Amino acid sequence: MFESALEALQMILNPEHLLWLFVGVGLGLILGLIPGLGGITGMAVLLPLIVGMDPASGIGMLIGLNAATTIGDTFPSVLMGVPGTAASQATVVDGYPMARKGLANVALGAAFTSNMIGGIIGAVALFLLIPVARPIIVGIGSPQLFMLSLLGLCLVVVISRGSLAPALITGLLGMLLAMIGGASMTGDYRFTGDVLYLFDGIDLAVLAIGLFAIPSVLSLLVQGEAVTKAMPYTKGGVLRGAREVFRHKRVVVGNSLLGTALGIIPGIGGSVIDWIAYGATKRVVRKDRDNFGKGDIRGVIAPEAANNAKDGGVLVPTLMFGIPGSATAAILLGGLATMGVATGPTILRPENLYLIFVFVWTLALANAIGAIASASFAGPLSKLSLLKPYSYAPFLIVIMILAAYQSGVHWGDIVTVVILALLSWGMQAIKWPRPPLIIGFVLGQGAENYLWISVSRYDWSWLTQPATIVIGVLVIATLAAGFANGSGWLAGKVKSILTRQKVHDA
Amino acid sequence: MPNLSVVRLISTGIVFVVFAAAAVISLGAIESPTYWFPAFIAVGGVLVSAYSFGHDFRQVLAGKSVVDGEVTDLGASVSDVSEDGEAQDPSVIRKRVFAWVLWLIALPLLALVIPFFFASLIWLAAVLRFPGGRSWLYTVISVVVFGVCLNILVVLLAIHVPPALLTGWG
Repeated sequence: MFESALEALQMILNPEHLLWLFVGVGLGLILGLIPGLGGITGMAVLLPLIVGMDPASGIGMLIGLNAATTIGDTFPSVLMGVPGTAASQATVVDGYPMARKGLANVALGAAFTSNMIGGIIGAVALFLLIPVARPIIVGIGSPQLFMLSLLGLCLVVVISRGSLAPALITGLLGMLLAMIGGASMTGDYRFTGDVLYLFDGIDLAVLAIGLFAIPSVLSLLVQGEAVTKAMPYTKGGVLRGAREVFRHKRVVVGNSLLGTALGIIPGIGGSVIDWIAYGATKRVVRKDRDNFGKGDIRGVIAPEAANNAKDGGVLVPTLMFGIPGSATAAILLGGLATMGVATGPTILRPENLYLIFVFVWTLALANAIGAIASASFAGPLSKLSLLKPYSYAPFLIVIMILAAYQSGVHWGDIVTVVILALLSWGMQAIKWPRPPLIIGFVLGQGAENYLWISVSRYDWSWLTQPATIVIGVLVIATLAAGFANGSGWLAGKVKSILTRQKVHDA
Repeated sequence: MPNLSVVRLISTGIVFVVFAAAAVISLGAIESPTYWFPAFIAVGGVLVSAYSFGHDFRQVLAGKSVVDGEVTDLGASVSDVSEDGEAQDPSVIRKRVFAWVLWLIALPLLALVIPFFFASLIWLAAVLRFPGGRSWLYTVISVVVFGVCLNILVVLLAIHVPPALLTGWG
């Protein structure tokens, strides 16, 4: 094994391989910077280029691009409050308020350091998990995945403040939106009316751009003011942010491990993992929990660490079983097949072991290079927060509408994104939390498939499986805790019942 | 000015109707697995939106606002207060919101008749010059530079550009 690791290291330090890795990282950073254009676009563009390429170089370019996209997307998230990709939404919650306080460079420094540490932990976890992941993946069946999806939706309870009902409404609305179009298991169409565009359903990219990106840019334009008027740490802000990460070691390491673990579960994806990391951190930390959402650096560290760490986790089912854990992993799988790299159990054969190490080294190196390159640009780019929005915001609107069009190459995408943007702006005004909507949307599609498979395979007996019951209890407990912390009549009732129970127990 | 609490109440009512309609459709075809999960969501949505409507209605009747509490949200908001703590005049904000709604709708409308690439450049020039108040020189230079960069991106990344739907150009 040690020999394989050395062989792989030798391969990736080859100048040609490094060059392709740098190309991938560079392109990934650019794509991450442009809101709406994520890693999928880049992967799709690079796919034809890797035909006939040496596998190590091809892997370097694709993995480099994928890792760097989740680093570069932090720039718009922090500086403009516009998620660079769907996977960096949770970063905006605390990153943007930090920018408004003039701490954009500190937030970026913390984010990139978390990206690097998370990415490296993810790479190490990939190496450690490959031999032992089989029982984990095989042990999690459709019933458990369905219940985990419901648990994920219940995280709205954790991340939402105030009354729980609007959060649940938007979460369920997201799930209902995910039901539009063809049911993947039966092929029947539903809730489409006679609108041809709806037959394919609504795309996640269109929803994310319409829900968060355009309203944020419009708000900046309406305000007409720079994000901040002054930056207290014009020098050394990035390093200060990096130091903050080491001050919150548990947050960064804990979320890196969480991101890796969630990445292993196929279908969850970065757009949900960042929220889970954010919600879990907010729930777990004891000190100054109320600062979350107001510019708490832990709210930047947690999702950023988890986001890059998940790439290592996603590669476990992708390489071991040929099951793509995400959309980008699916394209990666196609790329590997193009280069003649066999995935599945054969990759664990001694003669193929070096390939796993190529992935591990490349992932670690790409995260380090991407984070260092981004950190070097963080200082000058953070000054964007001092600019009046007219200098950049109208251009962003054009780019975002164009990015939305790429999802289905249909005029309906443009109409949908504009309608969603206006509705989302209205939701913001009436204080309906929008994050649960996207979480519901992402989890809804998977949850339905898992429910369908569970019922087909086990009838309704899956409800009595011990693992299902345990997760079900967690779902109920999370909801009850949310109601108890919230406000309103029902919340008061739940609270009083819980209090009475406590007194009774005492 | 529309009372935002009432707007929220109406919105909850509309969402209730949407969930109720989805529930009727789903429960009506519940024998098909296609509608199992939608039925589960729709019934849940009906219950939660009914609870929320009742809760908000009581608050509004009592003269309390339902939109003053904090929620976890992300990105910039028109209600953001500047660092010096001064909120902008609400009537000015309202006018700007209305103007930007129209500007946003104007871009796809323009792209219906002119290919999106050119429509976006015209739209940018208009936005920068009129609501933005930039000089003609700044406007022309920035739009041309943006056009060149966009064109490079379109070619390099094989980005699809929407054609003009009504005229078929592009």
